[in-house]
Amino acid sequence: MRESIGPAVFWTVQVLGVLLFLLGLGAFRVLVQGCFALRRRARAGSPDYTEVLLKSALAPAVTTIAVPPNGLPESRKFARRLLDLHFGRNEVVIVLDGPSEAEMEIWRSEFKLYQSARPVERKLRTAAVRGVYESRDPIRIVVVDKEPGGAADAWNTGVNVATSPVIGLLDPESEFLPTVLLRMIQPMLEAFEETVAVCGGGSIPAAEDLTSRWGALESLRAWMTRGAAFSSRNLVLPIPGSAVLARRDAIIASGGFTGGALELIVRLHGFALASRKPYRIAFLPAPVSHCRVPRGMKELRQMVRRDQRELACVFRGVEGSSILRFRRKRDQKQLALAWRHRKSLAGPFGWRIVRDLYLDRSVRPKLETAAYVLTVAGLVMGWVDWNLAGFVLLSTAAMGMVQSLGAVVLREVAQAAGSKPAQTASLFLAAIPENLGYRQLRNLWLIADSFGTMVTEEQNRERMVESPPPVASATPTEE
Amino acid sequence: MTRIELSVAALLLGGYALFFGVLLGLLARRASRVRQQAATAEALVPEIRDTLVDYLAGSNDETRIREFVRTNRQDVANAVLSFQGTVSGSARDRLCDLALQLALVQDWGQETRSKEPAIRRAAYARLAFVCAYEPCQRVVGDLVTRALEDADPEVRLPAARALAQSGSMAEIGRVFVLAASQNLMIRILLTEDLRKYSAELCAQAVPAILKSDDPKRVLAALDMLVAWERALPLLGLHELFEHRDRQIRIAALRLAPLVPLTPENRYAILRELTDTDTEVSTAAALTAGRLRLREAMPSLARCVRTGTAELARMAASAMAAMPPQGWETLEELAAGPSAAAALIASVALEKAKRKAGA
Repeated sequence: MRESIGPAVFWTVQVLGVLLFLLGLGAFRVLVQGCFALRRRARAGSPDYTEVLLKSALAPAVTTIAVPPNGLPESRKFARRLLDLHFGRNEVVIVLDGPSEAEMEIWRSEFKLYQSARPVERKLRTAAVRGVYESRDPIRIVVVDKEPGGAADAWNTGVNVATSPVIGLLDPESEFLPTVLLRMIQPMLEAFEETVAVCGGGSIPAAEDLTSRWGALESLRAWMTRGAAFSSRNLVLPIPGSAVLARRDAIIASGGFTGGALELIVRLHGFALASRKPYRIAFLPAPVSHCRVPRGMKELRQMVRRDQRELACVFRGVEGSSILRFRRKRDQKQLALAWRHRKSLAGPFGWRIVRDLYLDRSVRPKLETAAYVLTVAGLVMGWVDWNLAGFVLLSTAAMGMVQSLGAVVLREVAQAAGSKPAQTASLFLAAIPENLGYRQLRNLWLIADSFGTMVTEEQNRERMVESPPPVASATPTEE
Repeated sequence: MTRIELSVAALLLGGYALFFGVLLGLLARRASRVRQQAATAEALVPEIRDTLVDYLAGSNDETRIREFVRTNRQDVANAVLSFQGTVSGSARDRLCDLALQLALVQDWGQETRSKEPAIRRAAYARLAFVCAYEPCQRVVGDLVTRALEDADPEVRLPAARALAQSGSMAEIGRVFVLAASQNLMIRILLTEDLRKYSAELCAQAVPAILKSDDPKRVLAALDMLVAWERALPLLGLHELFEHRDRQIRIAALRLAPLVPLTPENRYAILRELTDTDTEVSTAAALTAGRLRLREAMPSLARCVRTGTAELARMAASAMAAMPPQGWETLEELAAGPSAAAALIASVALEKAKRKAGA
């Protein structure tokens, strides 16, 4: 028995090394796809019509929804930032999920609110609305006081309250331009019938310190894959800090929010694919919005955590449909139970939408960490030779370096006007230490955050309402 | 076997890293060259613009301009185009004449055959600017008019904008028809350009398209008319109030305050207030309020009492816009037995009084 452990570890490490190498190549292929997509886009050009759009009465109105967790000054400042957006008809809907009377009073005095007779449509099932308030000032803000029901429920209430055909979602943790809506609406106007959503933004600009450069590299890779590369397959997903515009009717038809913007977009993809109609979720690779530059490891950790937790929720939602098929073969009773309570995000299309992301953010960190542990143990016990250890290092750290270097260079290839050479070089060089220490730490973060939830304590004060019906039940699907 | 794997992986990754290193070097060179060119242009463009301003002011000395054209042809073309929207009349003609003399117009004509979409689009945008000048039109020929049929919408757009600027009324009508069948982005841009011809278009092009069998085009045309936000000499709108497509009926109701209030229109608005489709009746309530239709008061009051929340709110707002009779009715409704109607009526009344400073 003891004699067979050595070869077993050797072969496991060998297989893991090959798998990781192949996964790395796959991720690299996606980056190259992203480069080509960006290049095509740059060659086609994208004229800026913001001035005309600002004045036009034909441009559809946009409702920007925010779900602040409390009445703290940062939340109110974010609401003010939304009100300052440049757009002809922009309405801001602030949904307060079960606020206390004191919190409500803060909002009332901040925006001089009065109780409005504005009706609230019940297109999406949500917890009860206690009151709708509008401002006595000449600003287009609507504050909704509702029973607690969780973040997704609050977003759905926002959609119910909104009267505009387009819903805007901006990340409070992001830096965005006041013209973000004017720029984002353009791709939607080019094909209004087919475009159900637009995700737009840029990667984090590189700053002086190493951690911010690692954050920039992380953001750049996400931007080139989830944004650019996925856009060539019409499977765009928002990256952290990006802005999202979505058609209200599409949100309602797909059953509304079950989590954040990422889940919504996955759901919209799933619903559109299930309905078998031509659709498009567009990507705007313009620096209209980006995640805040992380200063120090703590902020970098937070940035990674937020993204990974949101992704974890998506993966769990998507896994629902796959597990279901697996179970079908074993226990019919369990299957029926699971079917009734299924919360599959994108019906049978989930795997198609998030496959590459799942491999990169869920499978790879686990395999990589396992490979490291086994390799070190194998080296100590003499089961693994130095050649194999070197191969594992090449499949992980060196492959990571090539990916990061590739992301920096491919972005430059795609851009007609290049970035500053010094900035590019600093990012290029940051890819080396990134993969010799930080990458391994990040793997542990990703594994730990895969089991977390996205909803914060403040946003989930008392109870959760039932999730909207799944996509698969709304439309004919393969399942 | 491990050694082979290691060698292959090392070779592959090393090759990639080397390739990226070299590529980065090349890109850095390209970037610095582009930056240098941009810096040169940045320094030169104000000089070119100054020279062009002198020329537009009446100076006949073309020596410097020709020198610039010889050394920085592209920058001169960009500088000429930068006057778009700032010069008109004889100054514009003079500028276009200069572009013609310097053979820039011919260059742009050549560039319309480029395979690069960006170059084609830029060429058409430039030609669209100079086509306002008749001699340039002769050189360009029907290139711009033919571009209206181009497969690329970004080419159709400058062509249409050129015709909207300098075309005959028939061509402008054609642009209107084109706009009604294009995507919303193009429609928005052309709507702005066509606004100044709103009255003339209402004579022929608009009635023709409103009689179209294609509801999408009719709707698009109505949306454009509403977006002009101008009083329009358009007759026969009442026919659209009976259209089978509810979206068209709603759009026609939104347009009604901008066209002459004929007895037919008035009757149709009153009738639509009782439509079973709440979106239609809501639009009718909004229109009745804008037109201050006092005879709509009973229907509006009924909408407040029995309509959906949105319809009731709109009807109450419409009544609030018609003091004193509307205010009196709202006061009665506010004191009525229906709590929902009372709240809506009192909020609308309070809002109207606050607005009037009462």
